[in-house]
Amino acid sequence: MSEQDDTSTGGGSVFDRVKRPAGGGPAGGSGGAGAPEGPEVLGTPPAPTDSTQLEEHTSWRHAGVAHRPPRAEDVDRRAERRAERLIALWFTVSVIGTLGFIVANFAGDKHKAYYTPCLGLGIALAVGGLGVGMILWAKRLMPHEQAVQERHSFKSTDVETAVLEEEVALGFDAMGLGRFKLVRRSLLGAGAVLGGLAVVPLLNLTNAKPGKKLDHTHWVKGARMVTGEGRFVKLGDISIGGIETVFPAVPVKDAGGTTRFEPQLDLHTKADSATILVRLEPGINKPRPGRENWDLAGLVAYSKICSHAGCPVSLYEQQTHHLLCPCHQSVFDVPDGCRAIFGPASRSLPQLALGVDGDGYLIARDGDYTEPIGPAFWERS
Amino acid sequence: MTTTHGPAGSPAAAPKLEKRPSPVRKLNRAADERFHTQRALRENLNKVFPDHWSFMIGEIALYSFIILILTGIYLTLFFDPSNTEVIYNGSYVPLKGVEMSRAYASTLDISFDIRAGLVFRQIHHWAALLFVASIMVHLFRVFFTGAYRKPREINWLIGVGLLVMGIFEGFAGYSLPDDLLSGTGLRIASSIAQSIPVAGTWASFLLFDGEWPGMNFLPRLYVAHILLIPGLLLALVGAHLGILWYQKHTDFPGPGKTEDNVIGHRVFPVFAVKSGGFFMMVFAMLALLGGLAQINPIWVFGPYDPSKVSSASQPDFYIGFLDGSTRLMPPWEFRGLGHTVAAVFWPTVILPGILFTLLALWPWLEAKFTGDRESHNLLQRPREAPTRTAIGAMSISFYLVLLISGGNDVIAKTFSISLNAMTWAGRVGLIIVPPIAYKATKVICIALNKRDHDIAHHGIETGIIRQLPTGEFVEDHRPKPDPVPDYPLVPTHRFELPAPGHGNGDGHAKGGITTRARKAVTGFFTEEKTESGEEPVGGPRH
Repeated sequence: MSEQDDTSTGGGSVFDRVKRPAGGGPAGGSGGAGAPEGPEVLGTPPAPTDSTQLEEHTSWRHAGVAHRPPRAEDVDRRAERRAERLIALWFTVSVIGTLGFIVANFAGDKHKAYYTPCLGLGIALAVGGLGVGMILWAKRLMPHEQAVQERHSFKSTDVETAVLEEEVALGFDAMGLGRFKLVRRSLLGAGAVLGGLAVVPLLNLTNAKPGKKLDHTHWVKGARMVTGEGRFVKLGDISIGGIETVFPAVPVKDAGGTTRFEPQLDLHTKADSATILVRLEPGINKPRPGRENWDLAGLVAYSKICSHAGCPVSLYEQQTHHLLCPCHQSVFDVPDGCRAIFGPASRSLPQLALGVDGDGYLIARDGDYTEPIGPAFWERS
Repeated sequence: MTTTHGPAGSPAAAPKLEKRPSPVRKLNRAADERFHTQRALRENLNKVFPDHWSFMIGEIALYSFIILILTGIYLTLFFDPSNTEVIYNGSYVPLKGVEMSRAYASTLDISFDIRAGLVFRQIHHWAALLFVASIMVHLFRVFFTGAYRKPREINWLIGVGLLVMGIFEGFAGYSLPDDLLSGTGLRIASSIAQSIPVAGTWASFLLFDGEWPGMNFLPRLYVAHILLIPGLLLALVGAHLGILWYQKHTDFPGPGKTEDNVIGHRVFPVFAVKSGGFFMMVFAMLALLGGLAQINPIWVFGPYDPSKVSSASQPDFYIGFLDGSTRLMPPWEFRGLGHTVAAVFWPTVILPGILFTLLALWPWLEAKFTGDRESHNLLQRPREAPTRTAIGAMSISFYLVLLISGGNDVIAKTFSISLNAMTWAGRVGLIIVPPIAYKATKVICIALNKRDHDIAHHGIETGIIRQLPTGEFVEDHRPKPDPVPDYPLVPTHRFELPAPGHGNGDGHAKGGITTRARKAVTGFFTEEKTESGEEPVGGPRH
């Protein structure tokens, strides 16, 4: 191979570290004088712009290694000092960041808007300064090398494997699990029964068996409808097109014989008894058979708990009379018995029969929902 | 500096033992006398890690895990995982006097009244997102380069376990504050548990201590979040790194690289400093995010109320694909024989079950289909395995359709598209996009391979056009050059050790005045003398 490169080489970086192959021969000749063995060159060869083609770079190629030009830090003492100072500067930034964090933490007003950003910035400078400094240190001042380490196959020799297998087999022989069937079987039995030690504490995790709990809510016959703010609802409170979320206020007989209505606004009642009242325009409600008198002058009551995954169905579109669950976009058609018409829900929302008590307040006329509310479960029929 | 550049293949003679050891060396020798550390230390300090940017993605996951532990410890000191209702009386005025759980109130306190509470809470949340995200990207890197092939299938399996555990851990974490958003998520989780055939109702009651919203389940969620799952994660991370360390890292093919070697930086000094610096950079990035970018502002959502929900409520991104699958699922609820299997069961239990099982078994599936039972240490470029790459692209596109559908209400609102149209687009897209991605990826890979093949066999175009004597024009090609390493290859064991068998006495026997003084009083500490009376039994030196 000739060391000198002709001018027609160069161009893309792929060529950086290659010489013309010996077999190929120089294609054009540097002078363009027309090599006798080759045909004439047409077109313009790319200009040799790559510095790695220069003599001082190519001459370093030896032992299969193409050196990069040395870093400035390797040959220039002043460049090395500059790198050192730069790294020290970043480590100083880290110190400033830490100090800034400490000052901001103690002297800053934690209720002011600047507090958290300052702390974040302080930590970022504290660790980031160290990080940048360390990486510069490794890249600029530590020697570049390509360390080589051998890998070895993980497979053991056949002899090693055979010896171990034999020894373990002898060990099992000595244990005699093959011979003493009674030991083996009773041990397996004991192991299986021992699983009870793990299962029983797990069962203790619940305070109550599921039983029929999912079938019922807190609605009882005659329970008044009360809003989340504790206000009892009358028919006139909800204008046409309006909605209201209500919870049960259960009747409690006082000692004197008067009836009090106790609003149930705890999480457990809210989770299963939340009911949505929708006032439809007169005449558009198409009640299901047997539910013709469950509404009250266009006012209908449905469970607010989505029959899909239990989110509260809380978006009502007045024009289309659709209820939308914001969790998974199930859509329920209110005039059609809250039938699920789109999305992943497949069951209608359960309906609650509405009534009015003697004082004009809305009540659950027949008591609880006639079917389990909310998402399905295995025992649901 | 120059000593490290010993010529390749000719290790220098072993250095002599330092006669007057510095304190550090003394410590080292003391440890060695007790644990025989020198050989193992040398092996591990000289461990070589190859250099490639894509190998740092897994490091990001590791570092965010460390940051999660650090910031998490701080948060545990102030967080009170209790469902007990209290009236809030902290410094966040809009919620003053509101009834809420102590979990939510203490999270408000962390955010407004604890010094550096909010910044660490936000770093913790950002780090959780980064943890899962970097695991996923790391998984893509490992998948597309074939790094999981024998002998590394077990580490792939552990990695899949880490991903699943990371998702559970993240969900448990953002569910703890008991705000409206997390409560809604937990409500859906309880519905999912409830949907499992036969055992579902019991499972839900066991998890939440009774019918939703349960009696007092936040403490057990807390135990899962700060003890059980992190313990499992820590063990899996340890196993993952241990196996990686033991089996040595894979590397891309390159000059000097073979199936039987690793080329790169030794752990000490360069790799350790670079990695330490990288950890600091990851930490700094998360600190910037935690300080400047608000995340999960629970005070905006308000306390959990089962009858309320905010519209456009979105889980953290790693749950998004389950949200999407749930939204796209047709209303298929099966009823009969007195039992019901809920529609929510298929997209949230069966689908992820299948997906993660396939993911976990992939190395064995591929080995089965390709018949490749060999061990591999060199990685493949994605194009070199078109079918695998196409399957990967197909899976990612499937995942992306689900993820996008998880936010389809936000997209529909932002771009004024019908929500129903978005849902249908997702349903159709889930079926037709993955095959298209498969086909397109495969075609691209094969075309890229063909180009590589052409270059390898016909060389690279030179731009030189020649006219043959027959009048035909041809373009010159030059052969593709062999790659050449940038730096000399240096063996890691630069110093040759003498053959084993004879130790070199280090001359501790004769000594100065302290040694003689010690010898004089040794008898005081030992109860018996040997028969000859020269050396005490159990003396310091034999």
